[in-house]
Amino acid sequence: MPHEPSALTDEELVRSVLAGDREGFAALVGRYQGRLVNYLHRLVRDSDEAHDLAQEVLFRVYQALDRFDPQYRFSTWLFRVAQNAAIDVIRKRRFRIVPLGRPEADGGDGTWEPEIADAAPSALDRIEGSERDERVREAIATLPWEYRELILLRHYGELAYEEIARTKGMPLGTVKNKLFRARQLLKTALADGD
Amino acid sequence: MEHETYREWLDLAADGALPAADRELLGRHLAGCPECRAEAELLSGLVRRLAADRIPVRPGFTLEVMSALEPAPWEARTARAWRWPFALLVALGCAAAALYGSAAAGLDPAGHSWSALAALAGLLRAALVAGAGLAAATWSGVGAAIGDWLGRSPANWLAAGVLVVALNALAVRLVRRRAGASAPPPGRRR
Repeated sequence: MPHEPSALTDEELVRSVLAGDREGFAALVGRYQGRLVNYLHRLVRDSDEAHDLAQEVLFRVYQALDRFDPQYRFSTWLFRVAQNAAIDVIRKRRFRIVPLGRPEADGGDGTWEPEIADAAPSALDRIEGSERDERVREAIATLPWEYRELILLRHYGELAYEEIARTKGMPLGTVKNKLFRARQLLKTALADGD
Repeated sequence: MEHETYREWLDLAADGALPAADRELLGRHLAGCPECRAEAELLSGLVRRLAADRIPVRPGFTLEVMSALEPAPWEARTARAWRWPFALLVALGCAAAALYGSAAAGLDPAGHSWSALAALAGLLRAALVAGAGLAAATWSGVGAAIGDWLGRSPANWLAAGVLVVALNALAVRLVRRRAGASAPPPGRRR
């Protein structure tokens, strides 16, 4: 079922799907599959699991498509569902989960965030990793969660700053500030490693 | 302008998120600031490395997703679900129009045939009124019969109550079974 490249916006595609055009959803899948799989892959660190989870996320989104609020961006909704799904999967692995409860550095509300220990990369990932920049991944893994999640949303989910702000419920200025700090930390970590 | 502001702009510029007007200002600053130029190169390199760190999506992923999608509860409410009933209604309307048209074509406008048509319309209206009256009379008759039956014995009230509760329970069960059939199975994959 190949999807045609579509000039419609995400929200227009959602409307067409709700009007009965199932192919519209195929276009949305085609549009987001790369970003979704890569974003989830950075969270669950397993290629097969990232694909399965992406599929599950898309199923969930399709089932609840009539509850999509068109005043928000589709991408915002999709990645919020994806992040929740990934956190559920990681929790189920029974890896170490430590609620930190530290207040956010720049005057955040101090909400508790899970610190998720990364699973060891699978054999396939290690082979694939030889072709990719493993040091970048290691540097990302050292970031505090509040910075890491924004880096993943921006550079793997390819969300715009405004979309990240909506997904995380943060002011746009906070997103810019945190991404600035995160990239400074990454830069330093990579400079130390090189 | 503060040097720190330029550093923040450098970060946004490397990420492609700096507005064009600010980019121009930043460009002018970079021309005279070797420290910021070095920082800009570092940041651009970082963003390039992040952009290159990708896994390929497995072939046929879209097809996989689309073929495994189960009907969503909302699909029954879409326009497509009403396509056939609507088409039937339109077809019936067309057939009625065709019949009416062929009947009207056989009439002689110069003669008194139009009055026959008006009489036919009056007859139809009378039939409708009579049908509605008959239905109303039937319902009131049924109501009177039930009232009469209930008045005969208190046991009849009990029997009627049991019947109403049983019918409601049956309706709830049918609705639940229908909802259960449309919900996706948990943890479904491929």
